Amino acid sequence: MPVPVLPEAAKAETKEGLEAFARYWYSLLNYAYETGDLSLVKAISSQTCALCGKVFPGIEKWNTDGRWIVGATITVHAVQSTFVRTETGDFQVAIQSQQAAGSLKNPDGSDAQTVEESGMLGDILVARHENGSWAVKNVDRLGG
Amino acid sequence: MNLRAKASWRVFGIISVFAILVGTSAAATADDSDVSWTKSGLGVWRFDSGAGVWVDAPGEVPENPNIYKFEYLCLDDSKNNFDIACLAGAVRCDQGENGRPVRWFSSLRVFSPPLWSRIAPDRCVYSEKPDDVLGKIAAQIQTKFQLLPVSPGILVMQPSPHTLRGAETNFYVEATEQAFTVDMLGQSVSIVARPVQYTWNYGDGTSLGPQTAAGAPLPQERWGEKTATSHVYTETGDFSVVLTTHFQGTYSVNGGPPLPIPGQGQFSSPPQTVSVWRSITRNYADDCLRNPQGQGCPGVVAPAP
Repeated sequence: MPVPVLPEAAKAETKEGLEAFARYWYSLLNYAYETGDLSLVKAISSQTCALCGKVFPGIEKWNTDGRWIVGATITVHAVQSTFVRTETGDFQVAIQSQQAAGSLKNPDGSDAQTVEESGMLGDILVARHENGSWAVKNVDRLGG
Repeated sequence: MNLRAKASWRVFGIISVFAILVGTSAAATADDSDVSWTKSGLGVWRFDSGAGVWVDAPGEVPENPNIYKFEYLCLDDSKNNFDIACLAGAVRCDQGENGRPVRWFSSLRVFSPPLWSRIAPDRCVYSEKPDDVLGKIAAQIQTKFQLLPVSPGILVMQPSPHTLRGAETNFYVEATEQAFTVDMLGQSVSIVARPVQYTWNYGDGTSLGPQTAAGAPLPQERWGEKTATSHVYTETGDFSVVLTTHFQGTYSVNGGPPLPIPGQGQFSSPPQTVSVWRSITRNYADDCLRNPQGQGCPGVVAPAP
């Protein structure tokens, strides 16, 4: 799988720039699902990112010691930001996402766990534009 | 030397925890693989439409972030007139009479304008008049929800069934998500009820809630501590405690998406009696060897309180 490249459009501190950046963040997340390489997505994500803390350890675990992940990647259906600066100087973007079905493979190729196709999910991505580029402060779930 | 004499009916020795279980609960399936993106987040994000930003509101009830719409496939302009050739290429609706294909879409509620995404696969309704069956179900679903045998959960008090006047009595509830399948207007409707808030009526004229904290058990050595859901009875006597659990619901028609049920369903436990007692602590200068007739010593009748 090719390494996702940050599009030029995803660098601008604009509504369109933030929406493009959100899509780029999910492409790095999917790259991690497929390769186990979390370094790229971690490099632009805060350690306090809520959903990162929920799935990164699993992605790491299931890409080591001969284990691997089939499918289970995240489809981004729609992205929209109001592009209003929050009191903390951040911007927010809402994402409609959906996880594809997949499975977690043991080294011998058997299924250890299966991932069901999810329903439509609402995510919020909080980002800040620093030193000419966007950085993710948080990714969390809408609706609990 | 101080000897603490205790009235014989002191109840600290009672350690049993009692519980009420009402009805049956069927746990809804949850996808909890190590890499599931469906996991709950940490914040409770609410959209402030005036400011145009999401605000994390801990302790609030999460709102369903989705809106849904549907369209009947292969329906021509004159209502209830389906294009037979089109139906042949659509999802097969052969589980009953008059099966018609339906396509569902969802958007995040906050998207303005809505950005509609198709939900795969297409589903069916079975009705001679499909154009109003989903609307009728929508109109009836709130009443149907409240009539379901939803269990409010297991109510636990610590200590129980006796507690002490003036002491913190810890209350908590163990409530679970519950799933039901019902028939409505000939359609199979799956309903999921999720507990979101709790109200305790303590039976002494006071209540707590509705609020989102379910409380939690305390280890016995910490009984009497104040918790987010503890209560102090100021009078002795027997009190009837009632728990009301507030549920958010979703419903799915013939395998369609989980549509939000308006409002909340409220389900209450039967009244449970708690007996509130007094305790008296008296301090004495002598022990029972030096003063065998002292209050609290063996064989000495306790004075009237």
